Amino acid sequence: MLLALVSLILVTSLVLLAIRRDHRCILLALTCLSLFVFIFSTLMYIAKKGGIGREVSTILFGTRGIRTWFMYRIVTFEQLGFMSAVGRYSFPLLLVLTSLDMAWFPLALKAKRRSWALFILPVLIMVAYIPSVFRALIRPGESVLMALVYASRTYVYLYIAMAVATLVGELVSITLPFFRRRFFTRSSILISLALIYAFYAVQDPAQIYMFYSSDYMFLLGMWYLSPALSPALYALVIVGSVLFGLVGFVSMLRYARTTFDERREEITLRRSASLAAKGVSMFFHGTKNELIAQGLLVNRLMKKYPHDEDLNRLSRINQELSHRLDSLHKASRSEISTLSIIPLSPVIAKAVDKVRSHHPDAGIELVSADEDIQVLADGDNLSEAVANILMNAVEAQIEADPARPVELEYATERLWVSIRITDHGKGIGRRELRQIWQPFYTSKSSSQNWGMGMYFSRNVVRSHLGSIRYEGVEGGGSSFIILLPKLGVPYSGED
Amino acid sequence: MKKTIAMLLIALVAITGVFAQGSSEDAGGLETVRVAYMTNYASLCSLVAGMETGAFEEQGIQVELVEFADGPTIIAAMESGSIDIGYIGHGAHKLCVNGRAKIFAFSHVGNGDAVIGLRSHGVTEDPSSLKGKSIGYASGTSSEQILKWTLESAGLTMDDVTAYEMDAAAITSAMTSGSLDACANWSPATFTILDALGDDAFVVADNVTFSDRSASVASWIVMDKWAQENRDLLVRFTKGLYAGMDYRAENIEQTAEWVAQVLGAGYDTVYAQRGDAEWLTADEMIAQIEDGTIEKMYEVQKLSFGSEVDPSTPVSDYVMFDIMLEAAE
Repeated sequence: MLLALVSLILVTSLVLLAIRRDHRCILLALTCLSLFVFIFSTLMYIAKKGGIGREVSTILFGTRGIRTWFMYRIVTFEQLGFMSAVGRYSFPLLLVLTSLDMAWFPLALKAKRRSWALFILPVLIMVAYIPSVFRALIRPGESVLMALVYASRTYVYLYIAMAVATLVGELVSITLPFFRRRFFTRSSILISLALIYAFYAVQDPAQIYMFYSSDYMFLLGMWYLSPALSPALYALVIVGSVLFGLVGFVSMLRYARTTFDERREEITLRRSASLAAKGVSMFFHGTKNELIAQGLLVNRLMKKYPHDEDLNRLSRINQELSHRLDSLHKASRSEISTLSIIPLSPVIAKAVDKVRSHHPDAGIELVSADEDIQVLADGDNLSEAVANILMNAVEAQIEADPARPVELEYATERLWVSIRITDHGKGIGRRELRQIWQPFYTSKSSSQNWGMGMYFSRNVVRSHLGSIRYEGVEGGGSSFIILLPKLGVPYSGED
Repeated sequence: MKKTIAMLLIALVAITGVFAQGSSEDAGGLETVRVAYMTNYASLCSLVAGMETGAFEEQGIQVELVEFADGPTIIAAMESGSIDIGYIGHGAHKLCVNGRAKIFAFSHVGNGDAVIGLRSHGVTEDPSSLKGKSIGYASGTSSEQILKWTLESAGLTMDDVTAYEMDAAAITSAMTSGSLDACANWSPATFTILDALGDDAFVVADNVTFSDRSASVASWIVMDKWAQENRDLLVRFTKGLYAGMDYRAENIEQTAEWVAQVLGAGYDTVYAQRGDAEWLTADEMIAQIEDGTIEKMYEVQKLSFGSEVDPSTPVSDYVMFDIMLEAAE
């Protein structure tokens, strides 16, 4: 069971790596690999050594056949011991590095800059556990063996504590619930790996090098034969680690699936966008010239009959149509943005003004944690992107409860500047959510709507190296979160 | 998510309950004794015979078997309290001499350790042919001792061969796959190797070869504290063991069948191990205790450990002949 679990975790981390191929996934895959190597060598040691009852054997190995397979593997004590040492001493280091990679609070950032120092202790211990070095070191006597065993155990638990403290520190430093939830799910992968490891970490490779020697056993004891581990407690701890492992496995699977879905959705959208852009371009150029000709003709007629009401109305319709065509054309070419460092507040204010020009009585409640937030952005495009989402929120809110305002909140968090727009309307169904980013999709029956707003907003945000997330609101409603990279933080493509 | 967590917690409690049940202490008023054994006929034959014939139940004892690979680990497990009684082979007796555990019953004098060579790899009956060969052995055990004596008999040392430290199971796999030229191992691994390789494999030396230097005695042991606190239980257990020894002497085939079932091994492999030792009945053993034969064997064995033990330690300090005699009454 335990073997199956760590194998599954390893395979999932490799699948994740194949999909995302980024620095963090490499670290995560290496962490899972080191855990697998350690557990694999530990199980082989236990299979060869014996001393476990039938129940524990089933929990660890599954069938008797698997245990026998482990027992009869041709491996010398030096090979098995060193395999265990590599797994045991690389895991804590990799766990700390992965935790630091996910953390952005000040102390973690300082530690990240000096991460080379984290290698010193594990490398020294790893060298000490090279079979020939190990034998030379313990030759003087028991005290050296004990010192080595306790030093390595201290390193192991110190680094595990550091990794857990880093994750907890980061979790505490996150204020926005959306980020906290996401971080909690992702950090549960590491916590579950740490728990599985911590339970077996007492297994020192020295026990394997000194397999039949009674020196080690009587000096330091046999960890898995401890009387504290009654079969019931043993089962509880192991099943507990299996459950934590499952949480980690499911989190990792979900993480991989989300990435995969996002990629697939992106490809589908690109195809639709490409087709739409061609269609819009043909439509725009074919119609615009005739619209301009018609405008000139109307202007000429207005000079002749300046007080004609119908001609004035025709001129306004013509101008509006021309403006809408321009907007459509702009929306289909929204990937072009000119970025510069600008304050976010005016961008938001402009978006609010635009929405209020359409809905003067709309309630919009502005919340900002930091008025001085700056972003690298194309101000016009970004304010239009925010306005599109805000407009939809306002319209949904008016439909459901006009007295209640839409909330517009912006703040900095971890690597991102977030702009959250929340309404308390009817919300968006799962099926509809897949379609809202498509060009020409609209759920409204208005003739004023091209269905390009959300598509435009998404493209603009992506051209700012950001993303838009959707969350349902408890009790009904929608919350859209625009995430833009925070200034001064190297872009990594994820938080 | 909450639903999933709740289901996981229910599963946790349920699974723990199932596994916790497996460790119940008492069944039908019987006292449970956790007994450590090794995966061979010598370790199990009298024990399983006693269990299967109901001899232990008659003594109010239920035996719970736990498998181990070696004697020192059994003693370590007994020290930690997870095992009550254990079986040890020759090598672990030095720990008894050094006061780690006490012997409460003699098992047998064995001939299970052997150095095996492969003709196709250039090994002959002459131990000097082992020079430069790849040899697998289990360091710190009787396997290492018999290998050293074999090499010594040809004027060689461990430096003259390429020695690989492995466990008994890995040595078996490595020999049968042809990865080694020779090995030092113990029964039943020695039988498995000889069976698997046919005429190509042969015994270079075994315990009989060095009978003048050591007696390969196997025994049943307890912690001194446990023996003091459970003297009555220990005597009753020994009585059950004696009944098993007597049944085994008369019913070798049936005993081999039962041992094979416990080990999950083939009957033939187990039956072949009956030649590993001279198997005594309880009466024969008591007679050898009374005439001093068994004490002499322990004395010879103690001296064979050389500087690893204090040779002046009296055998009676670590062998409880009183328990053996009381159980025979």
